[in-house]
Amino acid sequence: MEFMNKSTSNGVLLEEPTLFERSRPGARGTSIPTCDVPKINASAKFGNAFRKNTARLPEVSETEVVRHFSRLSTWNYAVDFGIFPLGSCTMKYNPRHNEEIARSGEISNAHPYDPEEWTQGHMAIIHDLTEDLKKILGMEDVSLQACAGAHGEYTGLAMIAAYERSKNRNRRTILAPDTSHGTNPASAAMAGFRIQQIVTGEDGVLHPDTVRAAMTDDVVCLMITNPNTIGFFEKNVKEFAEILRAKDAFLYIDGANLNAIMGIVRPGDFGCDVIQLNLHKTFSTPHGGGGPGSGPVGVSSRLVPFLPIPRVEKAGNKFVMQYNKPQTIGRVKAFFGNYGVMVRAWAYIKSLGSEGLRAVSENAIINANYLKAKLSNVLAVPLQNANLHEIIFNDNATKVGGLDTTKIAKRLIDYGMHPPTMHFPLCVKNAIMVEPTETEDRTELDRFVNAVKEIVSSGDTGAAPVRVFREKIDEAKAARELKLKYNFNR
Amino acid sequence: MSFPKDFLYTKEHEWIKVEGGKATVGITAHAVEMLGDIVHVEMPKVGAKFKQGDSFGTVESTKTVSDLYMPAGGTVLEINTELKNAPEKLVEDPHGKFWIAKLSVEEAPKNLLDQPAYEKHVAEDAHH
Amino acid sequence: MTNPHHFIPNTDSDRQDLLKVIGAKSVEDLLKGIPSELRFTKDLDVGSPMSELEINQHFRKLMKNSRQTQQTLSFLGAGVYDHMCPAAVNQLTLRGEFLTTYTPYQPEMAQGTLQALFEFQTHITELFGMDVAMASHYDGSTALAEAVIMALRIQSDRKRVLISQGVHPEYIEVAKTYLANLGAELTIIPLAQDGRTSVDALKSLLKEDVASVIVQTPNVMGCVEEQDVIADLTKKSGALYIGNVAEPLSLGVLNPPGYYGADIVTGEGQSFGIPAAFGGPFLGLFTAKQDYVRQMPGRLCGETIDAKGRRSYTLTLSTREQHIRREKATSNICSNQNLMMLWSTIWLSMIGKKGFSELAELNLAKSEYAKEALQATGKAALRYSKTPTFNEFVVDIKGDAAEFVKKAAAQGIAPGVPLSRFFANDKTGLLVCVTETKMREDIDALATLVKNLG
Repeated sequence: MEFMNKSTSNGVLLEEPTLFERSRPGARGTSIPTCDVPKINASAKFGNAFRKNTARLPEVSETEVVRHFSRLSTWNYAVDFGIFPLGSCTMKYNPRHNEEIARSGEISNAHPYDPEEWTQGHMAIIHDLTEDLKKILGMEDVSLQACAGAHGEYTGLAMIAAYERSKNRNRRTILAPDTSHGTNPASAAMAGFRIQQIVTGEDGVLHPDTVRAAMTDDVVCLMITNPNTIGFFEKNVKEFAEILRAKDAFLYIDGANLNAIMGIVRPGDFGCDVIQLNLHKTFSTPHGGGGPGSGPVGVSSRLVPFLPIPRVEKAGNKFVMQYNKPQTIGRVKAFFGNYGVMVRAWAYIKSLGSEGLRAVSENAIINANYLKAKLSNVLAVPLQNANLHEIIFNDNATKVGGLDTTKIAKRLIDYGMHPPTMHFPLCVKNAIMVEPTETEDRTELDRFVNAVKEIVSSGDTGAAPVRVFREKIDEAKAARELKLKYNFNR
Repeated sequence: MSFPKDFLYTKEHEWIKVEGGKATVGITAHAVEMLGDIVHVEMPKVGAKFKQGDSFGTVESTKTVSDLYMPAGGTVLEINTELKNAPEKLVEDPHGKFWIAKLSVEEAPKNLLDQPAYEKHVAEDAHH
Repeated sequence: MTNPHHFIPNTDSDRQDLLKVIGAKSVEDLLKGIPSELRFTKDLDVGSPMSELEINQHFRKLMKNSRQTQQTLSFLGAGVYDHMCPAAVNQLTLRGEFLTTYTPYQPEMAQGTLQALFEFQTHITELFGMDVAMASHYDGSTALAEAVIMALRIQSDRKRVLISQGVHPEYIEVAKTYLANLGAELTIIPLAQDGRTSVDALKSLLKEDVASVIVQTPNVMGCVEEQDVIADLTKKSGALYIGNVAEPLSLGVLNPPGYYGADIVTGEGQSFGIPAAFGGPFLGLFTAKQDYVRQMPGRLCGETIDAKGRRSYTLTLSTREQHIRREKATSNICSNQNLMMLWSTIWLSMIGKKGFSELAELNLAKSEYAKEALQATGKAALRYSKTPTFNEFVVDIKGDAAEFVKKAAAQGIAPGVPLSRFFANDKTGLLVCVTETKMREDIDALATLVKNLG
């Protein structure tokens, strides 16, 4: 267990109850300012609407709050500790400078309804980021309003629905390969479409004949991820675009994997009509344990009139929020999107510049292929093709000995690292999907390789994980009992 | 795994036992095994009317949520309230004590599988 | 031998070593899967790399007219509120363990995020008077749109949605976008003369086809709605009552929609110390009655035990979500605003039970003082003088409010949101928000401004 012992630390892990259990009447976490105007009797003012039954927020001191959340934080694993090789999720290092700028007073204190003269700088950042993303994607225009990838996906599909209405058509079928993500059908349903699944070829990419055969009069769009979720480039993509354009249908690209292709190939150049990205993947904004994200949407000229409002536009030497777009789908969010997230991505692009962005993608590809080379005699590689930024393994070589995908993944936790994505994409049985990203150094890549090798060679199929703050967690009990909030009567 | 001879089955793994104008509906032991740890059964309302093939509820496990499809058209007369409070019991006796709903059947169900056909269907399923 | 950028650890020599292990001569060998005619061979043209210092210098230049740089005074609210925030909140949310982690799908490595979620859900159910709170949505507007869709799913034979004119206008626009492709109709319930949702209009609109009625309180005019009457009428009609709370600090002095039996309550959590940040990221609050728990869109955390019987937390009911249920999922949402969730949880913990009511009372007192001060100028009239408000109210000024705001901005004051922003024909209305962050002298400065320019 050479590498396990090397990898796992015994940090200070203290048990900590909920803050409600620490609550003591009279304790204060902060001081409320003194009232410098006449007090108002709220009960008399509001009558029946006055709240008598106060919310049971905790009563604790500042020290206790700081200790409480500091202790909770020690139970999390994070990119700041080490490799987080979740395929398709792109967990890369989150630069601290971006965070500092986004939390500056200039950004934090700006109100969305501030007078235009005060917000010229903010509109300049939105405009600048839009222009940079247009260049990176090769798209006609980009909207920054959506708050996450799924939200961007919905926005893109809502624009296609609006386009159809503008042509007095009502085509409802969207083609999507079996490698696609679960959000595709869910977003399609919200935009009034339905997904028809088509089959990926044996070589891990989609073939033009498959698309052609599925092109009925009801098909309005083909939704693919490129590079796809297996880590391959959909090399026939331009032909798909031609097949679709001939019918005035759309090529939708899920841009979740943009990290692999910046400066190497541009979606707009291969015929993409709509693409949504995730600033928290490619552009390094922190995941924050599940958000906030930001889901920019790039569109081709056919869809530009339908972009959400408002748009930041340049009018002479100043920026304005433009609302006058008669064919717009309207808003998908109040105000202007997750601006604080945009600022981080903006600073990231400024820091790297054109060459740096290309170096990001090249090194992401090199790191992934290094892991493939090191592990292909340890784990099975079910699909052979030219991999870009992520690699799919599975448990074909180890399952016989009882080491299935789940076991390998859970055992990695004992080595002090986060498991890769498991059981996705669905078209590969028991997939283990690894994406190291460009921000891992060689030592860290080797730490991962050594851990996987040791797990496989040890053949240990016992309970995992065990070197953790909490061992196997009972999810069935959680779902049956549904304890979704603190029980004050416990 | 054995399946009662006097039941009829759907390809989606519901069973039905028809007795005169009434019927009992449930899901098969095979379905229960595939679902894993069952955490919730969404039941129809008593008095609700369904056509054959309509979704009348769901079974939820830690892995997935599966729709329940009516093997026959009819009106719900009774639901198994015991499953509401203890869904995990379904695994104990899915063909007997833990039926899901009782119906009054308006028309005879069509295109269902008999026991040998269902056994074959399950065997084929296992190969996929 | 250098690395190409400080975010990328591989030096040129590392890169050569890695390529040797791979068996490739150069990175070009690894790009063979991309057809050469599709390759991009030009410069991306997004500029040259900049150091932190250069980015800072560029940034300060861009920000020279920002409200921060100019030390301005603001009375803007309308869905984004300026509240105090203890220093520990920002500092704790900077901890990399929270900031740089992923969605807690591996509960054994994410108990910190999960317990914070559990505490957050408790806070929100307490504040809203509801049974179940989700782990959060993008913001108040999308939470409300999702609630409308959820109500249509529960009431599948009803296709009309009634929404009060008092709901934040941008929230209504988002709901319209979401409903455009779902075959449901949205009808606006007008406001009455007193600034509250017209009960007479509601009565006449409440037909059998109404799936849900949506009312925001305090509403966009700052007015506290008659929730008892509205909830009662809605329930009798068989429709679901959806409450929306855009300024949840008001719940320190006002009964929440849950008190009146609301079926779903949504809201915006920005008020819990979250920076205004030009409109986001914010925090969508989503709550419902226990009966609807399996219909609720988004993510939920639940308490359970681990293999050794110790109290633990995990995401639960995720089988309703998009990655399992696909087109039948309750929504396509696959994230929450987790960092903002954490922010608000820490803020609420520090403000505490008593502090929350006191802070609400302080907002009320300041805002009432401002009402008096503005009326005393003789240049501004309180529009809904008989209707109680929390920390926001409408005054009519002499002349055009938008013009007045322009002149005030030149003096470094944002006196309020001109209502013409939302309602084109409303030329004189100014929506003024006064929170605890405004000192008496700030309010007096606003009054002086109104007196001189109004």
